[in-house]
Amino acid sequence: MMNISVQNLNMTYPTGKIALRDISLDIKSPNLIGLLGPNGAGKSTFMNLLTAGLLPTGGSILLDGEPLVHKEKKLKSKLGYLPQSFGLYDELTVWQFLDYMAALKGIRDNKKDIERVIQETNLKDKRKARIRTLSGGQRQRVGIAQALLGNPELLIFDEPTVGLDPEERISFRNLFSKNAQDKIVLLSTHIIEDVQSVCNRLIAINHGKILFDGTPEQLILSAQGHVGLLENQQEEQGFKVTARVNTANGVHYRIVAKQLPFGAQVVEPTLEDAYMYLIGKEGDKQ
Amino acid sequence: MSFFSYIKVETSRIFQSKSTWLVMVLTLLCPLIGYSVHQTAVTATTASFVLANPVLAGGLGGGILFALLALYEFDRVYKYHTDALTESITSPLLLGGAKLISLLAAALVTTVAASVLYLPYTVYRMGVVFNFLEYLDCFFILMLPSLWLSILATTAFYQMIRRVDLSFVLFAVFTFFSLSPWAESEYILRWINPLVPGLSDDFSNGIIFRTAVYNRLFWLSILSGIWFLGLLCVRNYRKGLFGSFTHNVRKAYLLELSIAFLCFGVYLYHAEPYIDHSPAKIYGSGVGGTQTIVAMDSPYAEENSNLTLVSTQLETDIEASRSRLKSTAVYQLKNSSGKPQECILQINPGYTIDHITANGEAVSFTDKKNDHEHMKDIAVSLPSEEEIRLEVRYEGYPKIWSETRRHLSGHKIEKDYVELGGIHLRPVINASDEGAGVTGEITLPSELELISSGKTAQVIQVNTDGTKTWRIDDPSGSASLFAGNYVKKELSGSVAPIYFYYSQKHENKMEKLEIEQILENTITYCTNQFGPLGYTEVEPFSILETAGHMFGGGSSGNLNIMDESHFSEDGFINFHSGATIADSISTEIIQTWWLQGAMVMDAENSDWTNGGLSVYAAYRMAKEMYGEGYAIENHVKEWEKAWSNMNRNFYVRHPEYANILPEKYIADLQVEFSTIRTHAGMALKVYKAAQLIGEDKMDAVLTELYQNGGTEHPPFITWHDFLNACGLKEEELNIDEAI
Repeated sequence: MMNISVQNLNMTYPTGKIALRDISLDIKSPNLIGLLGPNGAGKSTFMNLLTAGLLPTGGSILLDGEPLVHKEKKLKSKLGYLPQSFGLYDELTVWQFLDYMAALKGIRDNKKDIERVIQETNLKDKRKARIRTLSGGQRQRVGIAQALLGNPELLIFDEPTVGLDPEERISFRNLFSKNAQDKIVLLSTHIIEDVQSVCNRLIAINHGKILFDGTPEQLILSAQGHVGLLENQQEEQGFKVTARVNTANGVHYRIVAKQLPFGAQVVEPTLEDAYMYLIGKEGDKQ
Repeated sequence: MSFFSYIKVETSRIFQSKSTWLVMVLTLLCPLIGYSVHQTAVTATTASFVLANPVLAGGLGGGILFALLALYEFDRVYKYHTDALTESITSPLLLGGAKLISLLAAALVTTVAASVLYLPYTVYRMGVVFNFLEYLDCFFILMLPSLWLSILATTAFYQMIRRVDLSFVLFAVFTFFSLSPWAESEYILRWINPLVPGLSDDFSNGIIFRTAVYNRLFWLSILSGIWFLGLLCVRNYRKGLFGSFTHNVRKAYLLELSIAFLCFGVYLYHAEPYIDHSPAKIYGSGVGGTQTIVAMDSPYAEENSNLTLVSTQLETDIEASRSRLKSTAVYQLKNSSGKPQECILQINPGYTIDHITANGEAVSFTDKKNDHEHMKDIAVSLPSEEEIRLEVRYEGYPKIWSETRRHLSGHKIEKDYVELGGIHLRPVINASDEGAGVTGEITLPSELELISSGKTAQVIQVNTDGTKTWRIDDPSGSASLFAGNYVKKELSGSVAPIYFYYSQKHENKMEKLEIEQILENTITYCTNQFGPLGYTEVEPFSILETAGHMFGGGSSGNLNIMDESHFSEDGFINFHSGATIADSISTEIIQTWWLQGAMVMDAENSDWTNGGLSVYAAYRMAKEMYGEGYAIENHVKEWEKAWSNMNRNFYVRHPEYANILPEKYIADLQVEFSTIRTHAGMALKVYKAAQLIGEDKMDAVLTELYQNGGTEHPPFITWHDFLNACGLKEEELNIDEAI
């Protein structure tokens, strides 16, 4: 069982940019957490702090009750991490690269483990291929595979489904879900579909602050009565169009708003509607 | 995971990289440059030609290539964001360390491969003079550390500034420093191109390797210190240089290691043990700059004016394997002052005085540590008695003088070669003497043959510890000693026997050349032509081969020394020596005849020396023994070729351009051209004179001059004496017209 406690976490870059403001939350295993937020919201900074790639400028992160700064080695021994942007050793084959990463992780009997992650990430055909010959999606799969090596207790994926085709995305969602049965999986994304069906907890961040921390159902519930359909395009005032739907009766517009405009037909919100509503609401405050 | 596991992982990865293999293959090719272009060691010996220069080229080229590889490997993790994955697993500091060691391992593997690759050719070319241990020393002391130091330097710079371009510029500056004139003579500073003036084929190169090891230790220490400092600068937590340093320095042991290595390096620099840094006295200036005169013996010390040296007796144990000696020198002195006085002993600064007694009583002494002209003064308080038996116990090894440090030449004790004399063997008392000779008992490893100036050294005892004790006796007091694995040949043909000593490595070759017969023929020819040399059976004339580090030859008392280049096909210069090694040695003997028996000099014509006359005499002897065709083909035509080549040289035709050459190159050219003028050029003039007056008459002229000396400035034989004796004018001997 792993327990991560984040207390009043602040992060300001030397340039003066404030990335995180006073974040507090607890994460316990098992858990599959979706971290949502627009680009530049502070998701990657948060993940970097959780993986000890950055030191916070304020607050603390406790790993099983002890400050992370003193338990870095312990964290790294239990961590599988896929950063948003990463490089691989192009001259190695997929198998050699995973062997290298497994060896860095100190995994004994790494052959079995490598076979397992190759299987799970559908890289069986590419195991002997040089990394330089792989497509973007295949490289992403190698990145995910290396994170899964050693069956770590904490898996952190930063935009893991970028570059994957729809079929692969579904397959990986299921893989994350399966892994989350006995560990913590933290999934950062701005693709709502990725988290909708699998995450049991969502954390939405914007401008370095937590806007929401709860279940997907709670997020959907928070948008009840704020999502509607408009038959005709109106001047966009006080609402945000989330989709343009072609129907037999013409084009319908799906909108979210604090107060739906006159004539809008209230509909059941989706997770994406709820997220848009949440972000939009925050935008209005700003 | 342990650090060693990281090393294993990283090493395995490095060896899967094509870049690594490319660098390794190119490094393997670098020694080829040493066979032709990059020839820093004097190629007078086969070892210099096929071993030293290729290995030095391998070190230089490989060093640069591995620096590039190291930069590529250290930078790529950041350039391609591989660090984003690896640093989530382990510390970048640990990975940096593992990466460094894996690169060092690649360099090691490359050097091993190079040593295997070049072994067959080296063995083939060197033949009997090949020494496997020295072969390994060359690759693993001279080449490998150059690669290691390059890797250490570039990665240290990169860790600090995190810029590939700037790191390489810094590395280039650092390399240039090693190759620059500022470091040229300082063995300790030349990190990428260790100082190897030349490698001996026949004798130990111990001093070359000892200084190289010290150099490597010094730089490994300094660069390790800088590297650990660089490690503290490794960027962490996306902080900048100072932020990362502040965080990393919490690992106090890294800072401690850095400081410890740097301090050790500074200590090594200051405790440098091989060079005596005392300056030379500048006596005058010559063309092209100040001329430094090497003063081997100091003027009489004033303090010793009331002393007379009666005799010197040595009991010396030469520990050749440790390159040092322990000795006791006993001096019989007469103190004419009638009161206590201070006596100054002078000795090579590499020795320490342990104990001094006078007439059995310990006396106080002071090591003045006032190194001057390759010696230091020891002040001893002498009692007032008239007869004093002064016993000095000392030990150490001869240091190389700063004036000859560029060539690492001078007196030495090596495991298979000893060369000692004067203040480099014993403390010297510069006092008036009554023909005080030096006698002594010298203990040496039994495989070494001792050759001493004065009377022939005799074995007086074979010891149970694998040593022999020799008795030496040099009435002249110079006591020059040489020892090595020599073959000793007694040559007849003169009034007294002449001994010829050469390295055992050449025994088969010399026998095939029938060297004994050739030398005896030479001696007979010289004796008949010029008369016998003035040596006796008790103090015979000896000709011996010395280490190549001597650069040339000379004489010391009744010893005539020839450096080993005369015995090597690669060092053989045939323009003044004939066609074969045997001819070369014969010419040296003839030159000795002219050196010992006549004084050939002309203040107005510096080309007129015994060199040209010896070369001509060698031709005459060859003609007598092998016929005119052989003599002209292998002697005269070679002189003409050398003379013609010199005159075709660009700098001879356009001397105005020579002025823009570096001083070193001007000096090298001057030496080369001077040798051609004094030997080939002057031999051609004598040859032309012989054609004009007839060879028989020329023989008579030379015999007359040799036996009776010149008349212009007796006893010197001047150029005009020669012209007058031939009845010729200078313009008649214009050799440029003849060629």
